[in-house]
Amino acid sequence: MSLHILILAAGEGRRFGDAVKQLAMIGDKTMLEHAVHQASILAPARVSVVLGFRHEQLALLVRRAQVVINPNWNQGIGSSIACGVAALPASASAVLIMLCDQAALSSFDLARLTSRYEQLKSNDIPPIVCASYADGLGVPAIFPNHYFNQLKELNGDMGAKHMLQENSVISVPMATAAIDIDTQDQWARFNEHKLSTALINPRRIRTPEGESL
Amino acid sequence: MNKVKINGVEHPIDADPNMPLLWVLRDLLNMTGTKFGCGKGLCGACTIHLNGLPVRSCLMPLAAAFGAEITTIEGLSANGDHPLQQAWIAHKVPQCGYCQSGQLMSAAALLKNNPTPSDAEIKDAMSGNICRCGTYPRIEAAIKSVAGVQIHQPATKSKGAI
Ligand code: FES
Ligand code: FES
Repeated sequence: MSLHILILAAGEGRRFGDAVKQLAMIGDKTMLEHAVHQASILAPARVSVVLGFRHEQLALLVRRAQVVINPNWNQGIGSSIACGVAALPASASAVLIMLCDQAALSSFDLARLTSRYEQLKSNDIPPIVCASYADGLGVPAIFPNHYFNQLKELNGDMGAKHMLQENSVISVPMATAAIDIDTQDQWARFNEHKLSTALINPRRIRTPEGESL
Repeated sequence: MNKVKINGVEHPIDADPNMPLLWVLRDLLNMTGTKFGCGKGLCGACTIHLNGLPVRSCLMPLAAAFGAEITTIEGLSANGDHPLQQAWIAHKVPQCGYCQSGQLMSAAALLKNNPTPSDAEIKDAMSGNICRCGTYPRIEAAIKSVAGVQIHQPATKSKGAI
């Protein structure tokens, strides 16, 4: 029984304009490869990526992770979550869901979530463990397998956010989770702020003062 | 002071919680069986187990180990006689040897969670461990010999350390 990581990368990223967002460079890798890389540091051989838009092209970039194609990707994020969770092996005890465009997330952040989850997973009913930032609760979030059926029923544009509100969850403060790249402008700013250099060497990212690890 | 449990022993550690575990192991605890290859999560030389699952310790913060169980190559077996270690010797797997503690840790985690992996599952689980010397065929043969033992002799399964 083990924790798997599910990266959502199926969307068209319409606000990113004509360019394919998953191919935008973050440091020395495309956004897609960057996300897979950060996840596989933590969970080698237990990473899946949901692709949809341009999946023939993008799947070629995915190494060391399972590719799941969501034919209904244009219905929205809920359908991609459902599709990805349905493809997890039976041995998955929990799934960490993250977005490909959360480009500031490093393996360090993911490790803070999983280590919190490890402490709680032997509870009678293991809780959801998710990130918290200025906007409230959100992904990356870890869902124990008793939530899998609910995740598989998601569809359309409705993500899993309501599940974070409806259940008692444990949250881990994570400023980097608030950054998701939607537009070319945000991407340029992200690279400009040298966040990407910090990502190549995550040891330079410091946890904000007082944040519990 | 924070304590970290490595190979069953609690170690008090006074270091930045963001320090990569590999640094903690090698430089603070002098456990040098775990190797530094790339420092970027690309090669697998630094693979250890965090709660029984393989992780790359070069990019894993010390904080991830608080309250967790860490196993390194030094703790894989008491006498260096884990079935995989025996198979490694029988199959003369290592050449220079540098990548091999990481290879063994990935293989051991694989067999612990899936005692009878298919060829594809073996390839998959081992695909993040790079060997400069190209010992891949021997690694695969050694893993299969151990996985095979478990398939054909279920009686040995219960006492196995895998
Ligand atoms: S040293 Fe950690 S993966 Fe290469
Ligand atoms: S044995 Fe030399 S790198 Fe693998």
